[in-house]
Amino acid sequence: MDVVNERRVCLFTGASGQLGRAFCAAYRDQYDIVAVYRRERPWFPAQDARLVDPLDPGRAVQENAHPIHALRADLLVPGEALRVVESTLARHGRIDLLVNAAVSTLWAPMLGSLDLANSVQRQFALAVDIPLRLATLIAQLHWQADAGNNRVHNRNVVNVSSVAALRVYPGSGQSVYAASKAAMNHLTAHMAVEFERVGVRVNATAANSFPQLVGVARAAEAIRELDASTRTGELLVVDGEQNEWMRLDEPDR
Amino acid sequence: MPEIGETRVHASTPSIELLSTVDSGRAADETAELLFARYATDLPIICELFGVEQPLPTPVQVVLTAMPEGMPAAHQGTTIWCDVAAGAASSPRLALYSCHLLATQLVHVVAASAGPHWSARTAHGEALSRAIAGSLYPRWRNAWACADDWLSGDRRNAVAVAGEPNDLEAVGCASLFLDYLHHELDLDWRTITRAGGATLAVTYRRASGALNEPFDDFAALLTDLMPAGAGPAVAEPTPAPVAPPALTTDAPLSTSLSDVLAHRRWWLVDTPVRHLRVEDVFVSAVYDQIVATFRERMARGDFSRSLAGYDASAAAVTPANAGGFGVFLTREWHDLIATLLGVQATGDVIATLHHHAPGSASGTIHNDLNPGWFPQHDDDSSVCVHDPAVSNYRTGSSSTGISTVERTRGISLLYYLDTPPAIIGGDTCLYRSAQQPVDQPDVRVPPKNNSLVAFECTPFSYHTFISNLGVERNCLVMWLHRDRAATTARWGNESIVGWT
Repeated sequence: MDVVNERRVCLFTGASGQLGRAFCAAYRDQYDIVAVYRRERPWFPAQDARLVDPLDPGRAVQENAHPIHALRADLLVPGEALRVVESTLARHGRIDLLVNAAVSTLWAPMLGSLDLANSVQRQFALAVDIPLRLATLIAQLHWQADAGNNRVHNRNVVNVSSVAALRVYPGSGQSVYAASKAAMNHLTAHMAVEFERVGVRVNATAANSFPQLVGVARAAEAIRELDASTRTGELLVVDGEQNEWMRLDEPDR
Repeated sequence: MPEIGETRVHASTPSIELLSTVDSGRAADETAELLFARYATDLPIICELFGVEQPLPTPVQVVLTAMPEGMPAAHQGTTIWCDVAAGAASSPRLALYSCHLLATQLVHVVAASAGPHWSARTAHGEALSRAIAGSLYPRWRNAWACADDWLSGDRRNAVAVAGEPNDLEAVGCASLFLDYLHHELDLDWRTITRAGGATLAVTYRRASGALNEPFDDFAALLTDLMPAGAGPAVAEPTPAPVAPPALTTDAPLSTSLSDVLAHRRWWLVDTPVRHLRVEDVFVSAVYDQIVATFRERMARGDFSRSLAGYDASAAAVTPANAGGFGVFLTREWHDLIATLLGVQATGDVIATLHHHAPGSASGTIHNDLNPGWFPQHDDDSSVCVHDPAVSNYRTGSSSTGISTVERTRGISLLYYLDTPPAIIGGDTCLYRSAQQPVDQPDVRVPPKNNSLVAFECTPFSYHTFISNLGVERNCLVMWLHRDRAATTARWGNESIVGWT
C-alpha cells in the first residue's frame, strides 16, 4: 500500500462555510472530501451535482474533476452524527481526517435581551458535543479496531477553534462564542491524550477573523498543515505575520 | 448632507450616540437595536484593519433616517447618516441593510483616523469601504457594484492614479483591483488596508513586496476572464462566477444564446428533484432590457391577480409584448433547456411574469404536472407561445375557432429579476416529499436577480414558493411541454393533476 500517495479521506463538517469552501477549492484534488452541510450546499462538483456547458452539454467539463461527496445533515438532530459517520465509512472504508468546522455563532450583548442566553446550548453543542460525538463514533466504528493502521495513515482530528478563545475582545458580544471555543480547546487537549491510545492525533486551529484579518486560504492551509504534521494536543494560531504553535496542555508556554 | 428634523435618541455611550429621525418610525426602532449591537462588533474589526486604537478620538454620532435617492449613507467627520429599510418595521432582519451602510461609513471614519491614504475623497477609499463592508455583510456585497462601469468602458488605468469617488469607472476599477489583491494574490484585508498608499499601485507594492506596476497583469487577467462583449470562462466552480461584461447598448440586442449568455457553466443537480441552477444567466445589457420591460408592464398596470390560490399578480408574456423577454421565446432557448434536462419537449411554451407583493403567502407543495392546451402547429423551427387572447390554456376553448391540442407540462423554469437585494425569503423550495413541512425544504433557491432554476415536471417534482418578507419578489415563470401520451405512458393517466 502506497500510504504517501493514497488520497486521504476527509470528513469535513460545516463545509458550506467560508473555511469549508476554501478547503474544498484548494484540496479536493488531494483529498476525498465528504462535505457535511446543513442548508446551502458547497458549490463544487459532487456526486449529485456537476457543471455543464449549456451550449455544448455533451462536452466533458474539466472543472468536474475531483468531485466532493456532499452530505446534507443537521448534526444537532439525534442520529444524524451516526448517519454521517456510517455514510462516510460505507463510501470510503476509512476516515483519515475529521475536521470539525461546523459552528453556530451569535455575538450579542448579555444585557437587554435573552437572545444570547438562549444561544448557549446550540453554540456549545457545535463546539463541544458534536466534535466529541463524531470523533467518538468514528473511533467506535473504525479507529478502535485499527490502531496500527491509524498511525501508519497519520489519522487525526482538527477542531476549528478561534482566537476568541485566547483573548477577550471587550464589547464584541463574543462571550458565549469565546467560551464555547475555549471549551473546544480544552476538549482538544483531553482528546489528544485519550485518542493517543488508538494512534489518532488531535489538534485545533485558531484563526483570527477571516477574510477580514486573515486570508481564508491561509486558514484552510493551516488544516492541511495540521493533517500533515506529527503533532498532537496543539493549537495552530493563524494570525499576524506568521502562524504560531501553542501546546494546549501548557497554554502559557 | 440631508436636512435632519426632530430626532430621538436610541443609545448614548462614550463611543456612540445613536439617533433616528422621528419620521423614520418603527423601522428605525427595529433597526437601532441590532445596529447598536453590530456597531460593537464591526468597529473593533475595522479598527484592527487600519491599526487604529479604540476608543476613537471623537465619539461617533449615527442618525437613522430616510436618505435621498442615490445616497443611502453619508458622513461628515464622525457624524454618519444611514438609510433605514422601510420593511424593517415588519422584518427586523432587514435592519442588516442599515448595518451594512453603517459599516461603509465606519470604514471612512476610521480610515480618516489612520491617515490620508484611504480618504473618502478618493475612488480607492470609496472602493475599500464597499469591500470591507461587503465582507462583513455578504448579502449586500454587490449592492453598490459598479465594476461593469469600468468593464464596459475603455478599461483605463485607475490603479496608478487616485480617482474621484463619484467617478464610477474609477471606483469600479478600484473595486476589481482590491478583489484581485485579495482573491487572486491572496492578500488578507488587514495587509491590504495597512499598506495603503497614494494610489492602489503603491498599495500593491507595499502589500506584496513586489516592485512592478501591477495594472498590466491585472488588466490581462480581466481581459482573459471577462473579454469585452463575450461571456467569461469560470475559473472556479461556484454558482456565482465573475461578473459579466455589458454589450454595447447602441446596437440591437442579439437573442443568439452565444451572445447573451454571461457564461457557460451551469449547475445540474440531481437531488431532491433534478434541476438546473444558474446565477448571472445573461450579460448585463440583456438583463437591463429584461428589467426595463418588466417595469414598463408594471407601470402600465398589466398585472392582475388572476392566479387562483396563488398570492401573486401576473401578466402573460407573448411575442407581441415580450420586449426584453424575447430570448425566452426562442426555439434555441427552448431546445437548450429541454436538452439539459433530458425532456422531449413539443415546442409549446407558456410564459408569465409574477409579482409577489411584500409578505405574500407561502404556497402549498405541488408538482406542476398539469395539462395545458395549445394551438396546433407543425413548425419545429419556432416555439408556439400560448396567448390568452387566442385560447384558454386550461380548457383549450378558443373564441377564434382554432384547433387546440392538449399537452402536459414538461419543464418548469423560474427566472428572477428586479427583486431588491434586501429580500428575506421569497425562495423557491424543492422537496423530496409532498408531506414535508413547507418551511423545511431540501433545497432553497433564493430569488437572486438574473438567476434561474428549472426542473422536469414529474409526479415527484415537489416545490413551492416561500413567503417574501419586507420587499417584493419578481420573476418570469415559464413551462415547456410534452406530449400528453408520453406523460401517460411514463407515469399513468392518474399522474396528471387536473385544474380545479
